Formats: sequence, C-alpha cells, structure tokens
Amino acid sequence: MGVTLTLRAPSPIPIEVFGVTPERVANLSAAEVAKLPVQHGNRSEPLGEFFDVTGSRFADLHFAGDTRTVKGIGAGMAGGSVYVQGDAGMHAGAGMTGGTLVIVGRAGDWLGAELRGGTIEVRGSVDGRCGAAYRGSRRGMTGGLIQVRGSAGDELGLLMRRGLIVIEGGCGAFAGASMIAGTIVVFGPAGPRLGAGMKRGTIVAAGGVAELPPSFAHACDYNPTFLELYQAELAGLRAEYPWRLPAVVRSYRGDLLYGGRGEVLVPVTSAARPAASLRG
Amino acid sequence: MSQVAPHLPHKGGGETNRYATPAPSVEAVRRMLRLNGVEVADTFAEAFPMAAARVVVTAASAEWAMTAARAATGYAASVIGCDAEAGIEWELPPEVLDATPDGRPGVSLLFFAFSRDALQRAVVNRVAQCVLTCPTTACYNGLAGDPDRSIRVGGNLRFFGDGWQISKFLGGKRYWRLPVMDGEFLCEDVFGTVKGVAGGNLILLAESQAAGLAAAEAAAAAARAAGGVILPFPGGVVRSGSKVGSKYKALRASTNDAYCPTLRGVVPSELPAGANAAYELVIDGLDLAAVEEAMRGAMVAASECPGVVKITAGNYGGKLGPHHIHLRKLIEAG
Repeated sequence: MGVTLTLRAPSPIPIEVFGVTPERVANLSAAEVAKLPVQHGNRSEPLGEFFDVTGSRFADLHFAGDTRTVKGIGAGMAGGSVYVQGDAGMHAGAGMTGGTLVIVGRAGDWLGAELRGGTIEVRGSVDGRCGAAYRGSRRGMTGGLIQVRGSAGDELGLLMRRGLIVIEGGCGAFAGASMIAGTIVVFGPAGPRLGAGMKRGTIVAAGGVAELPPSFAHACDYNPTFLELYQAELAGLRAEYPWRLPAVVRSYRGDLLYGGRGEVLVPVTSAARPAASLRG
Repeated sequence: MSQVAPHLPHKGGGETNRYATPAPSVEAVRRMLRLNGVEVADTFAEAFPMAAARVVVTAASAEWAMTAARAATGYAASVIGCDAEAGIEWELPPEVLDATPDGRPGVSLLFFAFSRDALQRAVVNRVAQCVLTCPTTACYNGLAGDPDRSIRVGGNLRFFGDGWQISKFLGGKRYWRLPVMDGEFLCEDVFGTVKGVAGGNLILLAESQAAGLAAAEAAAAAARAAGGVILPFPGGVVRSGSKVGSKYKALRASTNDAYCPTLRGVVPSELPAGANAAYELVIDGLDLAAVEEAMRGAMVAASECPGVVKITAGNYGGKLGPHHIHLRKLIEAG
C-alpha cells in the first residue's frame, strides 16, 4: 500500500502539486507529507489543507477524489509510481524522467509535456499539447512512453525528439508538428496538418488522416519490418492488446520544407485519401 | 651392367613394424573407457576462449532467411584461415511464438573470433555483404550481453544509408532502418558478446569411410541439438584434421598424419587395428557447459552407430587452451 492523498472537496481554484513526487514522499511520515507546500491559486498552503494523507514511506502515490483541477500530478518525478483514481488536471507527468504514472480518468493539457523518461498511461482521453514542448522551448518529449486509450487534442507531440506516443483514439490538429524525431502512433482518425514542419520521425496514422500538408510526398506502399517491433512493444503494454498496426502502409515523406526525412504512414486500406497522395 | 638395388630389410613376417599400433596391455584393456561398447580414449579436448556473438537473421520466407544465413556463415570454418568461425545454431520457425523479434521466419547464427575487435570486423563485413544484400532480411542481436562488451553492427552499417538512414529507439534498443531497393533493411545497432569456448572436438575412428561418415552425421546432429553451439566446418564434419606445424616453414598447420589411414605404417599412427577412416567434429559454444553437452550428445550418438571403432579427441598436450574437456568426465556425467 502506498501513500494516498484524498482531495476532500473539488476546488474551483487550481491546486498545484508540483514537487509532490513519489521519491519526495518515500521518506516522509503522513504528517510530514501533509506539511509539503502546494500552490492554491496565488497562495502557498500545506498539502494537508486540501488532502487527507494516509500511509507513509512508500515511493507509491495515489490520488483520490475529484482531482480535475489538481495540476502537475507526478510532474518531474524520477522514479516510483503515481496512480490517479479519477481525472488529472494540466501538466500531469510533465518533465518526468522516470517512473510510472497511471491516470484512470482523463488528463488535461500538457500531459507529459517535455517528458524525458518513464511511462504514462491515461485510460481516458487527454487534452491538447500532450508530450509537447512548452512555448519557447526547442524540444518536446525526449524519451519515455505515453499511452492514451482515449483521444488526444491538438499539437500532440509538438517538437518531439525521441520516445513513443500511442493514442488509441483519434487526435486533433497539428499532431507531430515540428517533430524532430521519435514515433507517434494514432489508431483513430487524425486531425488536419499532421506532421506539419516535421524534420525526422515517424507518425503512424493507423486510422487514416483527413489531410496532410501539401509539403508531403507519396513515397511507396510497403511492408515495413520495423512496425512488427512496435507491434510487439504494444502487445506488451497490456494483456490482449486490441490494436493492430497495419502490415502494409502507404508512406508519405516530409515535411519537404525541412528535408523530407520524416514519414507519415497510413494504412493502404484507409478510406481517407490524403490530399498529398495527389503528388504521388 | 644393371645395378642391383641393395636388399631392403623386409619389415613383415615376424619382425615388428616400429610404426605399427602396439597391442594394448591386459591392464590397459581392463581400464579401457567404453560407451555402448565402443572404446573411448581417456583423453581430453582442448578448447580456447573466443569472443562470441549471436546474430538472428529473419526474412519474408524461411528459404531467404536460410540463404542469408548460409552466405553469412560461409568460409568461416577455422580462424586458421578465416576471419571468424561461424555457423548456423538453429532455425527459428514462425510457428514458435516470439521466436524472432519481428515474428518472421529466422535463423540464429553464432560467430567466434579471437578478439572483440576481430569479431566486430567479421560480423560487420559478413552482415554487410551477405545479409544486407539478401532480399527482405533483417538482422537482430541474439545475446543480452554486457553493454561494455558489445560490438557495433547496425551502427557501422548505417552509413550505407547515405544520410537517409533512420534510427528507432525502442524498448532500450536502437535499430537502424536503411533504405534499400526492396524497402528497408532493419538492423540492430549493437550486439552483445560473451566469452565463448571454441575448439571442442571429437575424433571418430571407424571401420570404413561410409560407417565413419554416418556416425559423424549422427554425432553432428546430436551436437547441434544441444543448442548454444555451432559446428563451423562444412556439414559439421571435418575430414582434414590438422596438426600444428609442417615440414614447410611457411605453414602453421598441416594434415594430421597420425589419423590418415593411407599413412599407417609410415608414420606413428593413432588408428587402431580395424580403423580405416577418421572424422573430426569441431564444436564452438557460447559457454563451456554448452560445448560439453554437445560433445556428450555427439559421443553417445556416434557410439550407437555401427562400425565405430574408437572415439577420441584432439589436444595440444594441454599447453595451449585453458579448457580441458575430458571424455571420461563427459561419460561419467552422463
């Protein structure tokens, strides 16, 4: 049993729990955990003002209660595990370097923003800028794994450099925009402007894509061996993994404005016919 | 006018040929080691440590995987004359779940060389010329080795991609995707190595070439079944066993005359009465236990074949190799 933080009442004012990480609470008693500072609006308050704390001295943190407005859950954690029984607010898992974050509900904007390592699993959907770079930053996610069973919002994996993002639902506009490298897999329908400005990297739009930027060129239809390795990796995520990557894909190279070393792979059987296919 | 040749002393008829095999003493016969009734010499095989790597080659079909595997392990019989010793460890059929990383039919290969540097050169060259070139193939590391003792394979081959190579980092491993004319060649970046054991061997002495070969084939199959080993010579059977040195100064090794049936009576022979052919099995393995297990299986299989007169092993007097694999211990352990 880990350390459980139960939010007594939902707070219309966001509560920021940056710094309340598994490794931080691992050596603290429940009373000491309750004294950790959290930000409530513009004021710093002890955590115990809002949360009931049970358990102690475990690098395993549970969040219970209506945590929709709790920001920064698991942000910056380097190890251990965080489990959120409900929804998580913005910035959950942002800047993580290791460990495991599981969110049973949905997650707000900036989930796993600038992730460095570790794994994040969201069983609901996520809002925008998942795994993205913060404004002004040069790199988004540079390692680790984000898997979302629901859908994702806009700017998924913006400026991503390394790692794997798997969205089992669809995604909004500008997924993988300005991507530097790494891999994004979207099983549902992908929004417009997918991969705009991408330099390298792979976006597998297994559910098809509404529209590609015109700076993508059709390369070929082929059967890439490396996707089998990703399929094996996905199959290890949970028992009876329901999703199957396409065996034969249509490859589009781009963004040609940035060298064309990136690729968007869509299933050949995809009903959606990308605008860029006219170029092939 | 005709010159009469001086009379040569006749060696037969009562006189002893100084090179003839002496008959064993009664005491020797009593202590003689036997396996299924076949005499086993109380000697040992001398084996050496060598850097070893396991390479898994997959392809769209088992046939193409095997084509690449045969080519990549060709001309790799002995480090006396080749850059490495290599062979096919086993086939990895797709029916076996997760037998290969990409789920396609594959073949597992083992490579042995005197140093990690030499091993890297040999594996990189061989994968470059024989696997990369072969339709539909991909190439993976088959050993979870210490990262400090790894060799870089994909990381060297990637330059063939001329800047279009793509790196993928997945599950803690880096892979390289090289664009080629039938799609992509996928190759793992680094391969693990272990300190393997090379030079495990058995010599089968038989009544005839046919009986010896049948026994050698059975023994080779049994040795391979042990897993973790290869028999680097063609078909796993050597007919030209060698000794160290030669009358010709430039040669480091030459025919093992003591086991050549046509030289019995001329040189000190190791062939007992009734033996008219000898075959050698050479076994390289990922560790000593694998080599021992393979040798034990091979001895049992050979001893069950008709026409086998004796089973022995080759060594250099124990001075060169640190591993002495005693046939007596193998039998007693079994």
